[in-house]
Amino acid sequence: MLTRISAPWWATVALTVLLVLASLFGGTFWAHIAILAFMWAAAASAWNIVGGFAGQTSLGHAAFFGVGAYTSTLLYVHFGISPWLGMLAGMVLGALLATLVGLPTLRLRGTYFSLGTFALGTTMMLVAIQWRDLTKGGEGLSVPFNEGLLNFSFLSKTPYVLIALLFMAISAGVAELIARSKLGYQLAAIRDDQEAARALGIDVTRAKLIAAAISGGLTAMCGTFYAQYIYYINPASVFGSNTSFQPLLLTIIGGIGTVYGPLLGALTIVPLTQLILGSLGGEAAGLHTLVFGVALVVIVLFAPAGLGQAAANVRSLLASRLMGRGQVKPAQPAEQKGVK
Amino acid sequence: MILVQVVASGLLLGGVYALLAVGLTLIFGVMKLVNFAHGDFLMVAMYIAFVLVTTLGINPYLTIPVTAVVMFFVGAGMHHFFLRHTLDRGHSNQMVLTLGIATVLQSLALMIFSGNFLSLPPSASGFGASVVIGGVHLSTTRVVSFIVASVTTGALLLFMNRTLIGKSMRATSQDTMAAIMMGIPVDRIYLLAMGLGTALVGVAASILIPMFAVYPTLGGDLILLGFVVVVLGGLGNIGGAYVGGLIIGVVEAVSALYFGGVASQAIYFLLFVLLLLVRPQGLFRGEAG
Amino acid sequence: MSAASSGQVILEAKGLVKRFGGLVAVNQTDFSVREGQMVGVIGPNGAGKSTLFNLLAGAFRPTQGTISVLGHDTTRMSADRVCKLGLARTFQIVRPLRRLTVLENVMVGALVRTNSVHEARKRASAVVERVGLGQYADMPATALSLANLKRMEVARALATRPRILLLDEMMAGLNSAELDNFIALVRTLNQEGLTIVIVEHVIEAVVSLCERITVMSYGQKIAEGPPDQVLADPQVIAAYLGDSADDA
Repeated sequence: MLTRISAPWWATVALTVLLVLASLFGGTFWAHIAILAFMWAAAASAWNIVGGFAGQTSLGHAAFFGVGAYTSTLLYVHFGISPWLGMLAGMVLGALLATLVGLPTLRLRGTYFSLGTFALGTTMMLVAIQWRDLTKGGEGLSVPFNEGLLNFSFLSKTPYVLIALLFMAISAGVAELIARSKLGYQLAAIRDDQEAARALGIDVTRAKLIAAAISGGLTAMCGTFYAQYIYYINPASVFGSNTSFQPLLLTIIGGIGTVYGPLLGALTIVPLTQLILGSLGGEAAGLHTLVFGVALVVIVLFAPAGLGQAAANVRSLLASRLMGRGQVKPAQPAEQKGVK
Repeated sequence: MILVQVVASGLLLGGVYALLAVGLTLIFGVMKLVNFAHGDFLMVAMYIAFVLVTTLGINPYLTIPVTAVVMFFVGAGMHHFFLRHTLDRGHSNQMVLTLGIATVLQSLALMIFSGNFLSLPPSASGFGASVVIGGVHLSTTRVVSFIVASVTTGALLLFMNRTLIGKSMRATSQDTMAAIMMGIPVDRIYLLAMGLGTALVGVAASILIPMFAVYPTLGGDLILLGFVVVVLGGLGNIGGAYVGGLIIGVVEAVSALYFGGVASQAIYFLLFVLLLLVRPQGLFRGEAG
Repeated sequence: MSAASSGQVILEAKGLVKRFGGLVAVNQTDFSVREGQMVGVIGPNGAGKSTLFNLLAGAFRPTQGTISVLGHDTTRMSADRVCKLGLARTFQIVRPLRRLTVLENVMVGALVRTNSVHEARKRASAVVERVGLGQYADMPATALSLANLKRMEVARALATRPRILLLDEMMAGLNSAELDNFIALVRTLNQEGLTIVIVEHVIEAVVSLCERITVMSYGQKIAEGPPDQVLADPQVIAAYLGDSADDA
């Protein structure tokens, strides 16, 4: 029965458990790593719904992340509304923005769509910088700290670890539900061959828009988490291109189009880069992103189906060597629908 | 009169934007590659030019041959060692690879030069601060850069239209399959396109360094500008990219005049989004769709 | 030969014109099919057969003219809505969904008629068995031979529960055993009541299957009628002169 769980999922679960343990016993340093890893895993999983399942490479998801962060923060600062409710409001706004923007852009061909979303993210950042009355511009906003569950503020890191883990589970859970549902099959068809999908009765625009809305909403959720953990947001950090690229790059490293891919990518790369950043401090300026960039290049060149597929290949290679089987049959590409 | 001043100034800077975009559009046209590392190549070239000027004391414009040649090899090398392997794998894959390379370049720059803004003193260019042409005061460095950018673009257009290699590149750009069947060595054309497109960036860097500072994330700041111009001019259309660059230069300058710094940037991003919606093929048809 | 049908007209195109820039691919063509019929469309390369097909299926929008499917005006309808109405089509160059298995490919078709993935899987399984791909059900689509890919494409279309099926040059590239199998499959489908329109180059298949053949040349209908009548028509022979279609 255990052999039915695929190698990538083994790795994902193992990393999750390790990170949770490390955060409990390794002090605030490891807790911080775990928190960021889980948060980015959630954001990557959200991105993957549009980027992986539907095959639309969005380069502007920071727009939703920032909407989430600013919505909950502004509602909290100006009206004292609990960040949890603010988060829900942010998620709705994120979904709305995704739909509005998606209507014109999802009709564009791949390259143009990507460039258009890239422009969206940058535009949102510039709007946030310009609209000083609302956002205090480039100065950014400080999020007030009032300890308490309702205020989404905690002194200890442990609640954050749990919440981040919860958000990761939610994001991945939604992705899994979609993957198994009619929408999931429709998106897979759209990703592979849009015209064939239409000939099979799929309303392509509608399916993409639904995926975009869900993706936007979940990404906004992560934005609120970020605001409530870091306690300071500004246009560059929440709307910047790094925030747009991170979920995309992590997903590709882990295995695009699969449910485990974004999780695996985040749970391996984020701790790795944070460790470099943490242990080398100031001298490491640039080294942690260098590792990230190199990992990406290596994966794209040598293991384009991601780490997960590489792990599965290694496992089946080992299995056949150990079993002494004559023929080595490579594992099925994990990008397939239905293969976890 | 201020308006004329501003328009002229914007036009001149637009020439450099044009040069940046021309390389990008050449690469896209021939290879159908969205090169996210293009802006970071500019950053690398500007650092090279900066180092050459500050250590050897030469005039920045004299670094042009060096940066052009070095960047040619950087571009060709990037194709040979990295991009070549992903050509059959789809745009998304290639785009991400260039993103990865861009990240690597930015990180290296940060590690080597730290995050400081490095710029040359105004006297470095060796020209006076401004000239007056037709009653309009223009910064000499801008005039020179406009001239260099325009001459370079003109030379490229001549090359593309009059030489056999140039025509082979245009053929590959229009229909790769047909080009292969005509016996055009497409893999070498790709190599050349990458090299040439990046060499243009080298030229742009040498003429920009007297005017602007270089810093590790410069590439990221400029890449969207590059894409806006490329789409405006029509993907793959070199002449279009040139005109597009000039237009954007003017638009940026004029909106800075009326709306102030940040808003001026927002303007052309908004225009870009509008452009994608209304006329994604650009003002002039792209040679390659 | 398929059973004679006196059913209602369920697919009707009137005055169809399709222009691509300066090229007129289909020029003032009428086309209609009755329920239960199996008809063929033939013609030399570039005659406009595939364009006609794409127009009927909603993949292209006509420049002029009207189309109605099962009584509904589909002139301005998109391909997915036409499919939902009950007209399914296959593609001239097969378009498998590469990252899915055979069964999953067919499930996508089945999902037109149900929201339940479970239900879709059951129906798809049945269709997959029906066309003889049962043993390949869980294999990736990319592992199939061309003949089986074509079968899968038919299965996918069938899973959408169509009343009309358009087959676009399905027989090309098949060896004679595969061809016989295919012809038998198509014949059975029609005998069960499915209205079928075939665009073909393989004349042998069209002649053995269809009760009526429409011949197109340069975007226009030049002949229409029972196979032997049409193939003896001097205009048809003239249109094909120089074409090696009758080698098929």
